[in-house]
Amino acid sequence: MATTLLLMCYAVPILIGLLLILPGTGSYFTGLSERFESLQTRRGRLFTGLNLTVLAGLAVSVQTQWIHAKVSEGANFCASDTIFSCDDVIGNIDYNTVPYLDWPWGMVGFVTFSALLFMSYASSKEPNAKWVKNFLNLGSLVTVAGLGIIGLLISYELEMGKLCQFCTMAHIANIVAMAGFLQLRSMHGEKEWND
Amino acid sequence: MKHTYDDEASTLSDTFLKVASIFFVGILILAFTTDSIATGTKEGERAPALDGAAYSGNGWASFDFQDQFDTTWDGNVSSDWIMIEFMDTDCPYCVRSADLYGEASEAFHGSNANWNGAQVNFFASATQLDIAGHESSREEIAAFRDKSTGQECASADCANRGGSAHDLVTYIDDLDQENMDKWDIKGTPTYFLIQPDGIIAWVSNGGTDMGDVNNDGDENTFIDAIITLVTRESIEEGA
Repeated sequence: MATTLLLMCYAVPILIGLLLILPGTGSYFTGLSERFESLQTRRGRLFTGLNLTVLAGLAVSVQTQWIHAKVSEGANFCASDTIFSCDDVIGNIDYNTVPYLDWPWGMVGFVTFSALLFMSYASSKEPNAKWVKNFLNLGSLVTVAGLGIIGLLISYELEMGKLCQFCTMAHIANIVAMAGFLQLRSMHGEKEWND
Repeated sequence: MKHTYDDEASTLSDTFLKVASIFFVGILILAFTTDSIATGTKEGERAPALDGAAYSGNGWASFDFQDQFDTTWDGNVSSDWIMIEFMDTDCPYCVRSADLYGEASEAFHGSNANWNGAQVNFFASATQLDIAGHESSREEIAAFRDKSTGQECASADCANRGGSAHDLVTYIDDLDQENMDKWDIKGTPTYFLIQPDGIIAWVSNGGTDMGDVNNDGDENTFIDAIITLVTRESIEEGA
């Protein structure tokens, strides 16, 4: 129960982020846009959704790294006999670190989402700065590359026959962030950018 | 004097400070609420996985090393310790130590009334070293364990090795050297004594060098390691 509640804490901002990023959802935020001016424009909604999603991705990555450390101590956090058992996935020493480098996957997510948050938040604060295009390109590249990592980690889960809910949440955050970065990248330099 | 204020640089540094703050809060949460234990083969580290089929006298069967551990172990005497030997059935030193290993597996078993400590379960991960004359097989490993005839261990019939059959030792097939590589084994035999919670309590130096277990300056055997480190009734009562 506590695990589900915790998972919801990460899922809600990612879901709101997704709604902000998805095209054609501007009308849902009309009420809020009077209070938050940044939601009045498409660019503003995209940046807000991106920042929210990346922040949630960062938080859930810290959570997976925390579970990794706890399992290494011998403790249980979300062990289960069902398919949903993040302890079994994160605690599996054959798969829980980057091959050859031995870095825990949670720490990789933690560092990556921190870098993405820096790029997205800085760009949202100064959208017409000359480095914004580079940040959007780099953010797109990192999140697209993340798809390969997600594919590898899902293949591990299939091999184990177990699913890690918190890892999946971080994967979803990466995919939503990728959608945000790609849309902002294609919008940058167009008329809509400065509307 | 004219000062130029760079808004873009200010945004970058402000953002960097904010994100860095969030990052360090994350690091602090991890540092203060967890005490991570690395997986490795040094003393104090969590033992890596041990893969492969196992033989305990009734045919080869799949084996899960993690099932041997009690992750909630609190230092009590009722949880089993693990002794594991990395060996090759054609290695002369391993053949010579088979007698002692078999005796130890009986001496530190729960059925021995004279042993007042936690039961020690004995395992042997049998590999095939890349040395001429070291061709091995599951049949040879089984013959080494059971002390049965028909297979050659270190240029002699396996039935002629010292000691009795290793009825209390589980042999693991590591003919592909996967476990040996994972555990970073430099020579055979190498011994590991593992606590019930999966933490390595002692590791021999590899080959014939057993190392100094109790820091008395003398070289010791894996038996000294068990006597020195495994939880004992008398120690618990005295504590």
